[in-house]
Amino acid sequence: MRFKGKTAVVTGGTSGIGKETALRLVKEGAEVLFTGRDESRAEQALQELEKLGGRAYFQQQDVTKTEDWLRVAEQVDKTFGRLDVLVNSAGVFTYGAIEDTTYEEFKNVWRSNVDSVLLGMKHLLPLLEQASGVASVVNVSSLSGVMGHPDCVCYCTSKAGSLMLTRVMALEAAPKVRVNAVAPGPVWNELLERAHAGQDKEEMQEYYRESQPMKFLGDSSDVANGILYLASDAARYVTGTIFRIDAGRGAD
Amino acid sequence: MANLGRVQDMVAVVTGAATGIGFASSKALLEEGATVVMTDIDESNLNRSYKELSALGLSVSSSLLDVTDENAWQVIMDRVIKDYGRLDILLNNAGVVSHSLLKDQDMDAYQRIVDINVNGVFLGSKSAILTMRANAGDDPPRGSIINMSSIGGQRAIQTVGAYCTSKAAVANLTKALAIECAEKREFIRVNSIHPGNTKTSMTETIYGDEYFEDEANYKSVPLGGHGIPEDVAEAVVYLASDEARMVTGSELTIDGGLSVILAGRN
Repeated sequence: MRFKGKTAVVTGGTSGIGKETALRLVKEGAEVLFTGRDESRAEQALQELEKLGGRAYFQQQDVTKTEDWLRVAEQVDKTFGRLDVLVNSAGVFTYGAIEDTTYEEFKNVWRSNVDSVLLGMKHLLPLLEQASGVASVVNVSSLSGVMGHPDCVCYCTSKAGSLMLTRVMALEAAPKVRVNAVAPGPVWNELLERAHAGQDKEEMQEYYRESQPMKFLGDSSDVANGILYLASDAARYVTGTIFRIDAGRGAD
Repeated sequence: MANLGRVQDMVAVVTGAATGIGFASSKALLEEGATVVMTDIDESNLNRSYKELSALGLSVSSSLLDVTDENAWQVIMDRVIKDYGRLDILLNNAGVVSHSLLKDQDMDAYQRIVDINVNGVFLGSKSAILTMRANAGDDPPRGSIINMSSIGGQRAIQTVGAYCTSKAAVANLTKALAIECAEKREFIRVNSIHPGNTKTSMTETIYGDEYFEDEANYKSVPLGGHGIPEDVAEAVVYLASDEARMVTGSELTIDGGLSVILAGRN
């Protein structure tokens, strides 16, 4: 129970890495407010969280909207009175060659993957600073923010942006708040499954597995494990770190 | 650290286990359920530390080891297999430092740093990989090798240039081994940890006893204050455990944010 008595906000908490992180935080004793856009998926996530006997709350949120962050801050203040952990997991993925990419799409991906993190820090920092100990923010970036891929200019650029945002926020928020990022490679979860809807599932898993140096295709729990380490007091001297969870893909 | 059995029944070898990060990591691995073989070249400190941990009633043993001696590694691995049947974790932690500008660097001291910090990690990793490949029942082979680098392996720190050189080599040796094992379709994971400003007997030797008492020395550390061996031990347990089964070839920095402001070479 590494998070007993702790309070947490997880964005993108209705599916994928965010949902797994919210579940794990609840399992380890935290009270969690998770946010997302899809209310029907939220209902299912809420049931799973409550089944764990934990205390979980849901708020619908578009992470690119200031007014939605203000409502989350208000809710956190009312429910918890402070915040110990913020996990910025919401984000979008698109791909395509630059000639097929509209400026509008580029800006939208940036808003979802970078503005969202900035707004979260901006509006929840006062509550994080009221944490009883040192609060912790974990941003879910991507290996694509560390290394480039062809036909992936929007996503790669935005994820690199979120990494530098992490470093600068680590400096600004210290010493009351730690800020770190995980940079995961591909993991098999409902997001990847949805992205490959209509294709052969086992064939796609094989494709992703074989594309890693270590022929292992993880799932959301592998990233959640790293997030929980960084979010917990076990990492009390860790800030501004970019931690790859990528089966070795970023090492060569 | 709570005992959650995160490395339950795993067998670990720790070098430089008598003091500092090696000692704290041995203790943490034991408390999380592992069997630990503590090794060090310093016999009196090793005996004292071994006694302290065996008094906890946990599964621990100790062995003298010079990490630069290839035959000694063979002896350790043979003993691990004879006593415990397998090897799951190697923490290559033994390391030394000398305080000198590179232009004034004494060559004997330089060679000693390279021998222990780089060649010791090479020999330990090689022995561990061969031993892990022979573990019964594992197909493909699996295991976790954790190499102690430093923020000095990622950034240049003046007056410990030889140390920085050796620790940068450790960081890249780690990645090369990670890729080599991965490309053989093995689940032997190899990662490095990069502590900064951690109070240990080694860093006290460099900076002097009073360094860690004076807050002014951490003005530039974003989180303030210094790290303690237990901070690194927490990361060791995480990387050793199956929680990190997707993590290989990664660097984990534990430095209070210091490396973020040491220029922009991230």
